[in-house]
Amino acid sequence: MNSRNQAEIRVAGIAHDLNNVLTVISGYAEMLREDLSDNQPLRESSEKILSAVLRARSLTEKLLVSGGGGTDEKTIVNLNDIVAETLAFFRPSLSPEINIVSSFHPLAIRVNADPSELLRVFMNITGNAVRAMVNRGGTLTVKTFLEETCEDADHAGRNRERAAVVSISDTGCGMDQLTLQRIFEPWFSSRPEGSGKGLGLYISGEIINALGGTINASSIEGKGSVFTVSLPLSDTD
Amino acid sequence: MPVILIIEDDRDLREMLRSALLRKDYTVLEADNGKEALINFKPGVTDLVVTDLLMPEEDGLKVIMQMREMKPEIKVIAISGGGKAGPGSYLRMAKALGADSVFPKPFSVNDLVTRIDDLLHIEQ
Repeated sequence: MNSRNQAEIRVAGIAHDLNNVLTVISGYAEMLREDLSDNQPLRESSEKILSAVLRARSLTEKLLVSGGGGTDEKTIVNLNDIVAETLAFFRPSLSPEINIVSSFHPLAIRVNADPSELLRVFMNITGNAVRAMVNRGGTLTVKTFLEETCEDADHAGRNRERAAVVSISDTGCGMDQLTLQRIFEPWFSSRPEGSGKGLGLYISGEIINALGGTINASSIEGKGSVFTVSLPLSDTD
Repeated sequence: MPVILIIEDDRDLREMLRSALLRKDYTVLEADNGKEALINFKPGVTDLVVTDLLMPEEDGLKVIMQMREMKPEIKVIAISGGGKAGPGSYLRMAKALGADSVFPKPFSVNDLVTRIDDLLHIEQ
């Protein structure tokens, strides 16, 4: 894990604990306010506690943003950057038997998304691909490109729509068809008991679906797997 | 009165929620993690669950799924203070798994109690 990632987790942990404390403070302040009549001086004090909680809440949100942990706010993201960051995370820890082949669309691919959520998706998929090649080696191939999505486009390209696509493939152990059918189900894991929660691909699928995209997988047992994530381009593209 | 199970690993927060619910005459059960909650869960007794999402042992998402399997009609409210990607993504998962309501921390306890009243059709 790199230092940026560790810092994000620490910040998110602090924000999580602070949010718990703030809920306790505001909860008791609300009960106090309820028990006090309008003309009692302590009622005004309880109001002040509640407004201070609101200010503190905005600080925890800022903490998450400055720590890189993200909020629910979407922004314009260059998909190439997110994929490059994912590869930079895995590259130092890969065994020499695993090669990385990458090809990026030459221009920025802009999508509207929460960057931390997208990073999570590609970390999940890439992590699975790397695990599929442990002890056997192989090649991790990662590509970003644009793809025509509108079947009604005419020869002149009218009605043409394009999607941003990330393809992540490995030459690892692959999956049988029964496993492949279930990989996006919650709590389904093909890994040994206790080594995976079986939520990674489920959450990835939910994130991509919420962005109006799709995530597909194909696999041949003993040969490897291909995961394809397709996302709508931002309106600015 | 209906029975509400609070699953929350932060003791101070759990106690605050218990106080607020006891003031409204709810019967309150408590668990400090998802595993304990699932072991002691009594489908015939519990009407509504308020569960944190990020907890040691079993997390709240699994609790929601398993309790829904044991008692499909149970009402569930998920609460979360967030994780690496903020509270939103976990709460969205909880909603996708069937939580009736989600509350990012810090939330108004009055809003939470009002929502509990609504879900259980309790007149204020």
